[in-house]
Order: sequence, then structure tokens, then C-alpha cells
Amino acid sequence: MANNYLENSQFQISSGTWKITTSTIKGSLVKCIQNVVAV
Amino acid sequence: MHTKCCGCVVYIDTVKLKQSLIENAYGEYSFWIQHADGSNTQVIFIGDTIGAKNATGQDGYYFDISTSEVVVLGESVGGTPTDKVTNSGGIVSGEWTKFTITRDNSGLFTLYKNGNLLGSTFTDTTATTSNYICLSFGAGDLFSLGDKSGNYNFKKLITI
Repeated sequence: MANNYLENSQFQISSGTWKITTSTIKGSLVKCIQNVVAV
Repeated sequence: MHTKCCGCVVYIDTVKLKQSLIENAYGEYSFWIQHADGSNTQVIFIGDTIGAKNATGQDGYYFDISTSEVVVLGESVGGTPTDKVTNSGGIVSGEWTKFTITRDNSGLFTLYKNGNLLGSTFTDTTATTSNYICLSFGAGDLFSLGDKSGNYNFKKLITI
């Protein structure tokens, strides 16, 4: 089991591929985590 | 290009919330999610196992957006999920939505979408402690960690 910390969060990876990214909510720039399985 | 999958999990060890295991299982949980089209998006907000709602041995409660955008609150016992509240419609993939779930001291669960009550409530007192909060997402699902001012992040409050 992977046990990597996601940057600037208290989440830890158990499985899958995740990344830190940004998005916009109501005009505010937010940092978010995204499950990504890139091909 | 994304490959749709289910069961990719990240989690919070609730010790980091600095609440007791009992306090972890009651109160208010609020978060912002952007559900990807065709994905299954699960938040096991009360759990004793790292994994999805059907993980072996999972005891707790889950929030679920199905591949057809049906929103569910449910209970897992020993890894067997049972939907308690089901709401169809109102979820648009690719849009940010705030969900708030409350559980009061009597075990009453209530779900809100963008501050508005969503569907019916239910009461359950089976699981009274929680060790983990788990996100079991499909590819493309997003979970907000917040902006620089501390808005739009995940919040767990002891009291409602």
C-alpha cells in the first residue's frame, strides 16, 4: 500500500493515482485533489 | 484522456482531526466536490477501514454519487453497503457542489446540497466511532482543499 502524503493536505494515498491541481469555485482559486488515471 | 475507474482511495486518519473517535462519528461534515461524468464518487465520512464503502470489514456511513448522478447516503456493515437515502437529479457533472452531512447525538443523519435539505433523513446508531475518512473516487473527480483564505475546504465540526 502506498503511504504518500498529498501535498499540503492531511490526505494519504491508499490506492490509485492522484494529483494536486487547481480549480475555481465562485471566482476563488482553490487547490484540490484529483483522481487521475492518465493514459 | 482519463480512464474511468473506481476504488482509487485517499484517506484521513481521523487522529489528525484532534477529536475523539466518538466525536469523529458525530457532528457536521462539509466538503466541495466536482463529480466527473460517468464516475462513482464516494466519501466514507465515518469509517473504521481504509477503503470504499464495500471494503472488507468497512463499518460506517457513506456519501455516494453514482455513475448516473444519483446521490445516496448509506450505511456499511462489515463491508456490505445499504443505501438509506436516495436522491436523483440535481447533480451536474463538472460543476462544483457543496455537500453538508450532519449527524446529531440521536444518530439522525441529514444531507444538504449547497445549503438546502436534500431528500429525507434517517437515524442509525450502529457505528459510534470513526477512524478514517476516505475518498473513493473515479478518474476526473475533484475534491477541494480550499482557497488561500480558508474557504471551500473540508470541514469536520463536532457540533451541528
